[in-house]
Amino acid sequence: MANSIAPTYRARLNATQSTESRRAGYFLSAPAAVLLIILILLPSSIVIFLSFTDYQLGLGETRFVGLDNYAATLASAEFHKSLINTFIYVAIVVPLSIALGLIFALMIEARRTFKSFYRTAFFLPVTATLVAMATAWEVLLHPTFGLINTVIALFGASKIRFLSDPDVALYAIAAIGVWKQIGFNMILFLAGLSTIPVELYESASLDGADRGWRRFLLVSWPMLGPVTLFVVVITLIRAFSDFEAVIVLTDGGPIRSTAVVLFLLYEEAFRYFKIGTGSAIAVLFLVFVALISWVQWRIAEKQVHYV
Amino acid sequence: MFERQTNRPNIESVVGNAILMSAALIMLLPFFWMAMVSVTPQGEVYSGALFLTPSLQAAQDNYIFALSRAPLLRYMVNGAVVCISILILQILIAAPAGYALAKLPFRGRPLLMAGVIIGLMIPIQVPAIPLYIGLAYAGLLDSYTALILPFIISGFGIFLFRQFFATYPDEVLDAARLDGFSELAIVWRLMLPAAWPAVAAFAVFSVVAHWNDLYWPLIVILRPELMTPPLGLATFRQSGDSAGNIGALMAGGVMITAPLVVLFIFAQKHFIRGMTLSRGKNPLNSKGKSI
Amino acid sequence: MKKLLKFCAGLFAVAALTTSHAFAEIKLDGYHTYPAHKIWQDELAKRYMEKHPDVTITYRAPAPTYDDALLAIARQALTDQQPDFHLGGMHLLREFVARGLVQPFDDLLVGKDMAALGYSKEILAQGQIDGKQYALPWGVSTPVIFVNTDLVRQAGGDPEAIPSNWDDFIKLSGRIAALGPDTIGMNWEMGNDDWMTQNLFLNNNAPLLTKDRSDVGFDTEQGLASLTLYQRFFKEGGQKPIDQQAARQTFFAGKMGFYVATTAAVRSFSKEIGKRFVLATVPLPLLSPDAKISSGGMIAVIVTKDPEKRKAALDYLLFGTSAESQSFIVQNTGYMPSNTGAVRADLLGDFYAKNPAYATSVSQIPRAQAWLGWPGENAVRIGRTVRDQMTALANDQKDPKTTLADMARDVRALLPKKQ
Repeated sequence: MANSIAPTYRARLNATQSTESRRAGYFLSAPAAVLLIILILLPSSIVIFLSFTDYQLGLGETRFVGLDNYAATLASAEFHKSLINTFIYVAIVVPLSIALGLIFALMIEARRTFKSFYRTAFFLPVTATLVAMATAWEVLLHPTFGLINTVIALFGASKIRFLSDPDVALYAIAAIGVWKQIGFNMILFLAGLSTIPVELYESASLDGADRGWRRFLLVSWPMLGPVTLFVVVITLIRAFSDFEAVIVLTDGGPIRSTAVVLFLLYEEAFRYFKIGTGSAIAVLFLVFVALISWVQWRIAEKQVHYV
Repeated sequence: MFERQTNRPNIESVVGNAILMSAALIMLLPFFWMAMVSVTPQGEVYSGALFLTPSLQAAQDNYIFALSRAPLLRYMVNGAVVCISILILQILIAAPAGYALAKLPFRGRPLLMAGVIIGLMIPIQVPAIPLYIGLAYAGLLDSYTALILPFIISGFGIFLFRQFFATYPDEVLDAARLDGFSELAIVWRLMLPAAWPAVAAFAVFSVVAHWNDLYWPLIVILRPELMTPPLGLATFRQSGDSAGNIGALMAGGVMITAPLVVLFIFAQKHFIRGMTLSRGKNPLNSKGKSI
Repeated sequence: MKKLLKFCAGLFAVAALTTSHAFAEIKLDGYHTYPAHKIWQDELAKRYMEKHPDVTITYRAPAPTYDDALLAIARQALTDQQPDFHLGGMHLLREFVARGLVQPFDDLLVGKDMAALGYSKEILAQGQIDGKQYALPWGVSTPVIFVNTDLVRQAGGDPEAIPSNWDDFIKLSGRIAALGPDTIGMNWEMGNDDWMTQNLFLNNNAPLLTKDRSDVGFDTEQGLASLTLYQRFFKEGGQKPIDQQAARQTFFAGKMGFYVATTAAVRSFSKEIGKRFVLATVPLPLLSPDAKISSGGMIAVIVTKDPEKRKAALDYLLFGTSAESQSFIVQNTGYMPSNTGAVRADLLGDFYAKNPAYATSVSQIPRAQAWLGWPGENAVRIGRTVRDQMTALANDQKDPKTTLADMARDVRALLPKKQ
């Protein structure tokens, strides 16, 4: 945060108003701080505590079981499968939605016409209600009469049971995930691109980098550094947390092939009422997300510099 | 394809447009299909035809069926009440906090910042259970309060406002203070109006996120009259009513998606500016951090 | 100060006025399953309220499935938010009782001649656990085969003479599947739980549990034959492993020959199909002459402990299970009546004669056996595990032998440990 006022003036102001500023700071941020604790931090701590018990909603006494829930979860085949499912899903959604988001942002930025049509078209999936969209996709992906299968049949290939074939379902859900996320990333990249000063491009072209690839590598890509980092982290966290399409379309099936980790959490906690187990899954998930964010923080500390 | 266009249309720009247009059509495909199916007669949808033939009669049938079987208007009213309440409360709480974090030196600042970041990382599924129990013991389940309360603290909002307010010139603030503005007045009368694009961007994110939220209402709502649009549609979808009547289900989908689409189209310009201004840094700043 | 006093006085007056009506009016908070049933459940409640103006019955948002309902009520009970009465799954009664969610009402039945009111001993037994009456059956169902008679004719079969043995049935189904690239022969609906799997086992008289109910009983030759039959549906009968929504839609669209599902869907299937083709129902073929059939269905339980509400709730339950109401329910769904008086001349009378599709299930009653509720507290999870194993079999990921072994292993792990 730059201070463009002369240092001495600032120092004088600081002296007189620092106490008032401080008090105002406390007052203005107090509601947020209190609510942050009550609504997010405290309940999350309770969840950590619950993960060490065998609490079951509405059933019997609760006992302290130490690390049993963690041991059981980490050893269960179902959890391993959900980890694999989640990783496959993330491995598809994150790179694809970021790469495509960037490519489309670059292409749209270069247009003169239709710009806002494209922007709207790509961003609409982000605003749409997933329940409605997922149902629309369900119709499109119908194993016999869906549009996609009709087109496939026109080309002579055999129809695909997108949502009921255990070998395909996860990829179909991932495709829907990509579809939903591209627009979000694209907008962020567009915003980032629009802040790159024209002078940089001009000076680059004076150096001979005035076309396509070289221009991108020399100017656009480095300047997009912070945005890209932000996009990567946000997309990663969102991809790990995506499970609404699974709930609406496949309920974790067929044969648990679409059961991702957060779906498992939902099942354990809200279907089977094994709050202890569900809490353990939640904590494991939190640890993982914290890890990713910490890695991002470290990279940001080192990497992002401006000219 | 990736270059600024010159005045002459050339092969590259035609190809670029072709690619973009195809991609845009794929992005819009479900919207288009949803709208088409909602105005198509029952028998046609699963006839395997490539092109559907809409009919006015079918449109009437489907939409009336959806409106009467599922009280969609009621759901949308609920959605509107909940989203607007959440948004107003979020801004009331996040804007002052963002300002404090950006401009006011107080001792707990880094701690609060850390708390906000941690809060950002935690998805709602984690604190959901204790929140549910807490609300239940307070007798607040199955009410607007239950739908609104957990979300009035928005880490994303605090962040966004902080980023935006941080770029506000200090001189103006100092001048205002010398003029007798209280800090609170500064927030509401100076910063927020100047941050209008950021507010617009935040409003779009917030309303979209909470209008579309299925998970939380699924847990806390018992009575049909309080259902929000996604929950209502999900229930409608699961009821045997809609299994055969896919047209009506799609009509329901169109109706609950439409408000957001319209909102976005109108707010587009402000929204883009908001995103730009919050992420953009003057490159002449030294040591700009990414977040 | 004066203003404050006036305000308080006003409050008191309002309170007095409203509480004076509190004893005259009873509000019952009901919770039923299956949103598709909302229409007739609401209608039934309305009829009751017309006769009893001092009682108001409102229904919460219906639960999507029986399992969801149990879990919702367990969650609500934690914070005293449970409904007053519930219409739920027969096979879950044991779990309801084990979790202390429902109350027996023998005390309220004293002095009532249940037999004269149309409640047979068997029907009442279905709602009893350990001799105490916890529930009244609200609607009984067995699975039946829905037939697209047009497709049967096209494939050279006779809709009046659908084969009653599996071999010929599967052959006919296969011929229907051969009619076109998008035509599906049949679909044995698995649902979200293990009811239809139990029916497969029972169709060959394979026991589900050992005699002492402590261990799995279906991993036998008979059980294997049941699973092999299911595999044949796919390999020869033209069944495709698609999800329930898609399967139902295909049947409604007239592109499927046979659909095996609960009789409770007869009415809604007819409505969806309309005039697209002529619908009929036939009973299930049998693998074994001693085959049983798993009867599922809806039961009514009382959840509230409040004495006033209990009485009112039971009164509504008795109304809903009376001959008239049962006749109404039958005609609106396809369930079989739980009240013997419902077949009276002036009620269902010739309804079954005029609507043979509804009568198929009744013909299977002699073989009926209650839907088994797995012992222990994992009934819901067992149901899903079983279903998942069947899906693996349907997708040709395992052969019947492996499926049976895996299923037995998984269910065993979820049954209560031997003491």
